[in-house]
Amino acid sequence: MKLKKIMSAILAAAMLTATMAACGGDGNSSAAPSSSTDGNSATNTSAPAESGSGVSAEDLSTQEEYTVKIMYFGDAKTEDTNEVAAKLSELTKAKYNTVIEMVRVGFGSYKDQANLALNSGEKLDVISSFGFVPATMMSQNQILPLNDYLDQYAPDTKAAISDLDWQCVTINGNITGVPYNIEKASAFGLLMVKDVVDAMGIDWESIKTLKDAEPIFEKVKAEHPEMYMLIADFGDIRRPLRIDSLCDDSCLGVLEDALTTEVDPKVVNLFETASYVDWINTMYDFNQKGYMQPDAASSTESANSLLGAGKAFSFITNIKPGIEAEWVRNCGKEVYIAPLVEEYSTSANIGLRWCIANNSEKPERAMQVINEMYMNPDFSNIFIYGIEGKHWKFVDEEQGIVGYADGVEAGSTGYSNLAWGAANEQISYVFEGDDPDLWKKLGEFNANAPASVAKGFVWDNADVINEVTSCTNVLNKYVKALQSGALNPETDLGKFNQELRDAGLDTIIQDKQSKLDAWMAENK
Amino acid sequence: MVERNKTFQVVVHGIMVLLCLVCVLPFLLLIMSSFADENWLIMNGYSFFPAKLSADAYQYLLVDSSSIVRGYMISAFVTVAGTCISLVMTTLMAYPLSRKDLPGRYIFSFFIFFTMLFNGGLVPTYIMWTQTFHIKNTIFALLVPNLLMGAFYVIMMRTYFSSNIPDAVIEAARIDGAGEMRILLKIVLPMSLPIIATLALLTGLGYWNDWLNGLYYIQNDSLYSIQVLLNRMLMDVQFLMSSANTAAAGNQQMGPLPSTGIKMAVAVLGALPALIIYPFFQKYFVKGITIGAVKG
Repeated sequence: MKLKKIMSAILAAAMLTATMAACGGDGNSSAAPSSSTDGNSATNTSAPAESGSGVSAEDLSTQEEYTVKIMYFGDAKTEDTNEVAAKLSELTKAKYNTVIEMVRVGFGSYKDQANLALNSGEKLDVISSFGFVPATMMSQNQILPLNDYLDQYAPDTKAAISDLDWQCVTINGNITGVPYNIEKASAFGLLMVKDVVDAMGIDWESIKTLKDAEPIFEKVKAEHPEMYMLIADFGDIRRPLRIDSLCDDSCLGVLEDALTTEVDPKVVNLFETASYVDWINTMYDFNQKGYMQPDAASSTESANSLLGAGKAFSFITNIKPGIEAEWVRNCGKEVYIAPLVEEYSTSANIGLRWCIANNSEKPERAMQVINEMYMNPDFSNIFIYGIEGKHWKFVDEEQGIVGYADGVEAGSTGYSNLAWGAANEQISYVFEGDDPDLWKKLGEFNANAPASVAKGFVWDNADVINEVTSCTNVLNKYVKALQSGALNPETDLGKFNQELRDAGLDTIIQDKQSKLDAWMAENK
Repeated sequence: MVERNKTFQVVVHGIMVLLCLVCVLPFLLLIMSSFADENWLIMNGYSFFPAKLSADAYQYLLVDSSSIVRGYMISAFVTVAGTCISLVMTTLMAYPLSRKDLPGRYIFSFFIFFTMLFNGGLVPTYIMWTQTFHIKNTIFALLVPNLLMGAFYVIMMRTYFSSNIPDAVIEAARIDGAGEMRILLKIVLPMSLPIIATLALLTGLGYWNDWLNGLYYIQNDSLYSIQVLLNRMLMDVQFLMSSANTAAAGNQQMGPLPSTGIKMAVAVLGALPALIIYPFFQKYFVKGITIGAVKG
């Protein structure tokens, strides 16, 4: 009898702990469809030249009819997307006898759905690399190399993009995609809310490094104790450092200074470089003094909503022409941005690209459509903004400025416009609120940004994939906490680096270095 | 002894109360934050007693946006239709298997059991459904894959039939002149209400809560069920939280994301129907789940 009671008490307690434990799950088991692609390689017969369209440009409209299916991201209603596709088809039908079919998928599910479409051999021609690693797509035979098609079917696009940029999207000699013509350089700055700065008469222009912000934070904090001085965006804090990651998002082995003039640049461990250590010391200092948003590393709030609600004072943002207007649009507050890192460009800046799916029955027709996306302003405008009168209207036709159509706004539009989501935003209209010269300035920004010595080099991690995986696990454990100042660099940075070395970081750095050296010898 | 009993009761009840709170409090917090004023929420964080209340999120979801209402209708239809079809099919499979006089019953059982251990994997399944059956972007995509008939449910029901319906009852019915159909409908089913209710609840919840089918097979937003809508909102945020993706997107702004209040309100709306239905099924549920245990 007694035993039974004790047992039931223990059982009840065990249930309680089990419930608690279940809450601590790390959420890493989210559905990631395994990408097994072996079955697809049979369809990889790339013979573009003899497919009967080696004809002159004039009679392309007499080609047999073909439907090109485009898949890209962003929220849109299906009916609206179909309408836009029909409108685009009018253009391509006349020119190439090609019909456009379009599917837009929300950001969160884009990668899953695109992966399924690519792996299942479903009808698909043109696809954005958003969320993918293009090198992996290529090695898994999900996309086709564009080398041959570009010259023959999209010579305009080929000429419009610089050789250096083409090099950045080329892996083992295969061109993986047509790079988006968005900002192609990085620059970082400290964003501050304008009304607070103005009301307190702060000299924001004196900020040249993050450390300079400290006295300002101290002053603002005293006045506005309810505000976070520095925040993260969905737990992410941009690194205000001038590094060249060599096309590796996890930054395992970098060039400390992207603009170094050395002839034999050295690949080093980012997390031991003086500039990185200096930066996280500053962050730790900020955190100790209570300037950082608490639990910044695990925050699920966007910087937009924190700034918009008046809960935040500053944020480390990337900089590009028109960035202030973008912030006003997204958080509803005017901002000042003090530059911390001047613009510079690396291979990693040429990230997003349009690819041709391996499933495409007529890749040459897909290539013609990509050419149209990149070169034809009419096509680009419809692609980005949708249907005139339904989704957008002219605010100033002369200057090519558009706004939402009457009765439509950002939250209710059936076709959300993402200028950067198209191939070439710089040939399209400018959205209301942006500088009318925005695209010109963006072009200059791209052209004037000094390039890293290693720009054009794309590191392929295939040889050290195991080390990369184990190092990534270590990174997930430390990086966000370190960079938001939650960990003390004095005690934890050494541990972090030791774990990285144990996970094989040195092998990765050696691999990168030897490939970079070979590339430098060949190209410089 | 009496004293001891008291301490025992207090301890166990204490633990049970804690257990209850662990389950109920998060949900309460969810409901309260869905009614909190958006800006207040961001300024002060989640709270059981928000100082500024507002029904803006619900106003937006139920009045200004048609997608939630439509999602509700889709979910309701799929749940009702799916549960009915699924119950009929499961019963028709499980009942013959429970009869000892079915020839080849071990082979049939094996086929069913086999699918519990092995399946085709995501991509082959996807290829089958989209390229052989062409259910992509149709309502069948929400009804058929994975959910329509579970091997586990068939075996559960078969076990119930064979352990709770005595052969003698069926024999007696036959002697009285009842055909197979009549035996099933008039004798066996009325005796099996607990398992039917249990399976109805389990499949119904399965259908109501399903979002995977929507994620894989639906690209047409007029077919999004409520859970697919909710899941999309959460996935967008999760996607942005992994910094590698932010870098891949070139630090671009993704356009307007649903505010915290709206996310909370959708979660409440999604959970509500299940919450209301559950108590009505509970008595059957307890009975059904204990099948196979020794009956007193």
